[in-house]
Amino acid sequence: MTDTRKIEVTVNGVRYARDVDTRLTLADFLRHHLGLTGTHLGCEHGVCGACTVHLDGEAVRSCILFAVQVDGAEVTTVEALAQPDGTLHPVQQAFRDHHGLQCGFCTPGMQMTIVALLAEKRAPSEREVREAISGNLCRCTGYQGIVAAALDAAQKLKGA
Amino acid sequence: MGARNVGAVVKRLEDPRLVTGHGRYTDDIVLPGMLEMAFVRSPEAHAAIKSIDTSAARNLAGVVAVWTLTDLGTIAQKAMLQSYPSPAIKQNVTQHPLAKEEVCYVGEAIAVVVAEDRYVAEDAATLVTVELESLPHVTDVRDAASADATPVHRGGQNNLAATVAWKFGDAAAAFARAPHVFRETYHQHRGAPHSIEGRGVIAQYDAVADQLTLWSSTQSPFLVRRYLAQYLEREESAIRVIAPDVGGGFGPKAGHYPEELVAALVAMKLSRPVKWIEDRREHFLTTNQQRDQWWDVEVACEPNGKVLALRAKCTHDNGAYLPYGLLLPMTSIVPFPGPYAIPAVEVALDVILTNAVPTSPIRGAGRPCAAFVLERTMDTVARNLGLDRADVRRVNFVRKDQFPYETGGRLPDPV
Repeated sequence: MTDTRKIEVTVNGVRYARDVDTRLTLADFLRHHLGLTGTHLGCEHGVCGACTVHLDGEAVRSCILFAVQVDGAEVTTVEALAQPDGTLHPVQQAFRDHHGLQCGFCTPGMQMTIVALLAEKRAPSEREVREAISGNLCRCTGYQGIVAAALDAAQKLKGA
Repeated sequence: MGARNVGAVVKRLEDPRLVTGHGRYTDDIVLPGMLEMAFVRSPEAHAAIKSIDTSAARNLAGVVAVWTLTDLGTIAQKAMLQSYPSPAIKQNVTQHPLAKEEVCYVGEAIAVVVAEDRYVAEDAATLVTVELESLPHVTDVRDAASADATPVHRGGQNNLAATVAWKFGDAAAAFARAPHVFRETYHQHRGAPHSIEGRGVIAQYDAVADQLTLWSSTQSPFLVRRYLAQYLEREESAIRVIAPDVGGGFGPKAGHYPEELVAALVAMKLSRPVKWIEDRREHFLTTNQQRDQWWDVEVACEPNGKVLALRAKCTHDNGAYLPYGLLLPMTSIVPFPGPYAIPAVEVALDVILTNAVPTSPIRGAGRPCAAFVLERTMDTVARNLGLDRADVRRVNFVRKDQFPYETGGRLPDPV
């Protein structure tokens, strides 16, 4: 019953050519085939946003995309945010500084959503940050630290 | 005194790995030769299991085993252990690792599929045919508490799992002389925990060392180890339970669950590691929930809103089983009188079984329920007497000169 296709995809700057089942989700491809377990699965039906990655620069939910749909595309995951020397991305640093996480499970998805927002809008208002993360659920923080982190990161990125 | 961190910004040691995607949650762990499990679950709130046909599922390529309770061996024929025993429990009903002859809530696991990966395991789970004979069910706790209620478990006399009462002061005298008495009923509905990471478990058995290792998304690895050891009749030293990074808990991950036992039994039977990762639908159906509770409250008070006595009766829905004893309902009744100097309190509690997923402590473990009842009661007094809600609270608060304030309450005995 399995139906496979060959895909070629660039993930975090590395090019992969793989045979994948047509029903394999992008999230499972990233996590289990490429070992990139920073992308998390919370609901597996596009509601919680924990699995958010960038597809050609746009924030998308990897649990409701099939791996075959990203053939020829460029995917970026949370593992690519920090510098190779370990220096945190301003958004990651701001999450740490503002206690924008507790358990850390929603964090990669939150960060990918906020990085995409800041690429589009250099100085978002608090309302725009809250709108942007409205598709990402966090059960620990109450969102205050996350919003503060996003606004602080925007400031830092503007000054950079 | 060690107050060096008060007022200071404290950087957490775990943050660098969590913000970079290098946390290690249960589903991130991959062991060599590991298989994955999926469960066949009850679509009915109450039914008798007439037959289970696993042949089509077993024949699917990539499937290693499809097992029901019988297949798990004699050790698994007993009900799970009570995590929080109490002599006040009248009906100490706990689940079996997989359902035995009867399912009592939607989502109760009936069979387990073990396969090369989760996709195949889920395919196979849909191929298991379970013949169920529907039985009458009851899901409203007030119906379940009534004298002629449908039994939640076949052959049950009633659905009363426990009844507890406690009091202090002379409420009868206070009600007899009170200028005002008001009555109100409050409903606090069910709530689900919903950590963003669901439950999950990996079990690995080393036959040479006779050592069982579990990685579980749990808040209580030592509790899980204790009950695994007792259930499996093994020494605690022959079991290691590891809680890796856990993606939220909020209470329900503090207990032990059928899936942990099944994973352990399957890993030992196959001598291969097995993983089960709960999906969101399973979390809705099978992870312990909280409440619901109906509260019938009577309050006696002075014209200025000063409360003289409170009588309350809590009818608590514990779902189909008691996985965590009476901890949640008991913790709902003992916080009285809260911040208020109420001289006489009588609280009665009925813990009722229903054909729904069990309840156990979540986020405050019942204390928010008591606070809700107290605060709504203050509002009831204010509304009925035409007083300001804040003034009613001011007149009832424990005053500075009353500290240390003793309520006269003692924990109910026995609990």
